[in-house]
Amino acid sequence: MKSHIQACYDKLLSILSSKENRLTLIIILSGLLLRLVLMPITLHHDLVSTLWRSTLLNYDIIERSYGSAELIISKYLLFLKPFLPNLPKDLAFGSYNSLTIGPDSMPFLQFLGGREMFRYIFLVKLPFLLVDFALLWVIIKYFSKNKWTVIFWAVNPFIIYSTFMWGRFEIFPVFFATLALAMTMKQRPVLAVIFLYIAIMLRMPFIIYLPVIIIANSKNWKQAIWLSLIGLVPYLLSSQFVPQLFQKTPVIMTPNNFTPYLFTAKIGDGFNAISLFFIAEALIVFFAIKEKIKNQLTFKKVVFYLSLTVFSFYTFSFFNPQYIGWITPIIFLLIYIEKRIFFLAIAAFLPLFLFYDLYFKCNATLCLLQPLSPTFFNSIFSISSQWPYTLPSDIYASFFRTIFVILLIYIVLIIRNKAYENNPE
Amino acid sequence: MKIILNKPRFTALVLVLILLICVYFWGRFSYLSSSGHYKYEEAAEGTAKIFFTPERNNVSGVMIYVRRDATLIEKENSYLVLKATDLSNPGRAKVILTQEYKTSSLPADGFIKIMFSQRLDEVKDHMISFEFYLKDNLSKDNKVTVLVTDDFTTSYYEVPKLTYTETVRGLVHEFKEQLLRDPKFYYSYGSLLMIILASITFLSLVDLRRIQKN
Repeated sequence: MKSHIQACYDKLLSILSSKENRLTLIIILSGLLLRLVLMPITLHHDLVSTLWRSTLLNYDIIERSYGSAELIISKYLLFLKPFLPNLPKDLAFGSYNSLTIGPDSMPFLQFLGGREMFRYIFLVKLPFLLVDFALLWVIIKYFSKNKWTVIFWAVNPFIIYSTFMWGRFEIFPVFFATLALAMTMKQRPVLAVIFLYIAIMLRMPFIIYLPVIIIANSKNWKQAIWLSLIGLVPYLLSSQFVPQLFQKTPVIMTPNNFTPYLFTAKIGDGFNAISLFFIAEALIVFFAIKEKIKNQLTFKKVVFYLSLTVFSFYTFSFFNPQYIGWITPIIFLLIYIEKRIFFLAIAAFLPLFLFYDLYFKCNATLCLLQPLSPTFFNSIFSISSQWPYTLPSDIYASFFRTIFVILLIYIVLIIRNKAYENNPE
Repeated sequence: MKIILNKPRFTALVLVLILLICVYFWGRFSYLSSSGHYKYEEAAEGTAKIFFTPERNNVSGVMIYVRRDATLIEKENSYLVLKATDLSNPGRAKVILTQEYKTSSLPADGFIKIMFSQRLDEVKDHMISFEFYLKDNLSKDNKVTVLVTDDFTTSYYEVPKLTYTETVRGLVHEFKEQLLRDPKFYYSYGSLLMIILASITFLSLVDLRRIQKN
């Protein structure tokens, strides 16, 4: 027994004495520390909304879950129910009728004043941390040839902001979408499409990744149709159709508010309105199919077309602040191909954060720290209110959003050059 | 064990220093955000009025503490309207903001944050009035419902003028107090952070190859 422990100790020591392993471990631990520090002290009222709806579901007050991801959270909270006896009281249960909690609503204010607030926030965010570590496993397994992907996991501002500060479940679909991209890279078409559809099941907008993934994974039209149908299985399982067959299963209510976002950037008005995102998407699909027919669609080109699709979404559509987490899967692939993109991706977050502050105000930026001190953070309006500017804030907002988009365009140009290195066409 | 200030550690040190400087400047400015004098006045029948005189220019909003009676919650489809007027030139009083709050979403006892759509540049020592009244959305003529002062009272809230040290000390103290409300969580969470921090320090400073050789 003693010798067995000694052997384990020696093995651990030999793993850790390698400089590279030690550095990786330090990076991972630093990422974990950063997440753990932010987990209980940051919060958006969206998280309390999720907590509220999940609790209503667990106490049989409502029968419908607000999407598949919230169903997972409510089942997790059902498991934790015995450990959280004061939760209904701390959420001012029974005094509020709406399904959504606003920043000034009574349950939110009562929640902030609750004795066990930090514990609740930490526990609700804990599954996100576990899925984030599953994501790390995917990165180490498939993308660790370039160490910068692991460093990006540790400091990923998009996920740290949307998941660990804002407290939304964006990490669930991000994990499956990254897995789908890894499977595309490993040329496992069926798995790639199934994982992507699970991501779509959890967050509908991941459908924007779908056309290029189907084109990349199929050899002909027949296979493309077949793959699209296979992928529909998890989606159908989660849609309103199948759960209704089971009496006891809560019906999922898919929030139907995504489609209008794709029409926000448009040319013309009323009858003549044309969505810029759909024009971009049609062009991307057209050129991807053209390359596929010529048999020239290499993996790097797939990444190029995917980045074009995702970045078109962030350029031409309206998106809520936490939706920026959806950019993560493609950023991992981009860094895997070109490490320079690590710095550009981190740099792109700064103008975006300032844009959020100017457009969505404090609730999307500094007020996320409200649990630390509700009084203090309520008195700060926004970062932008601290600088002595003279122009209206919407001008600054469009300025910072433009910088963000310019950085995305620069990233696309870099990956284009990489993808067409030996084929300047 | 020998700690050497090599290139990556030096970079880390510089980054930490930059971060501290940023935090310092952020702290310097943050508490200045909405200082000014407030005066509450029981205004004409049905409305509540607050007068605000900013002590500086570049004001982007104010915070008002609102306490209201439970009867207001029951008034569905009603809106609390806030009208802000710059009274600096009595002849040309200028409405600078009109904002509506659905009564059902108002806090029972909390802050109403009033953000201006753009920063007000030249408002130092100007008198701004905030007028509250209730609008019933269902009535055809959008009639203003009279507010009874007993149902609805306002008082003022002012961001305390603290020095930077006081702000940080107060923040840390409040955070600690907030955390200590749940001691079990405080100790387990604190220990978890300490363990990870100790592991990072150990891995960065101790040369394990030497231990293995010994």
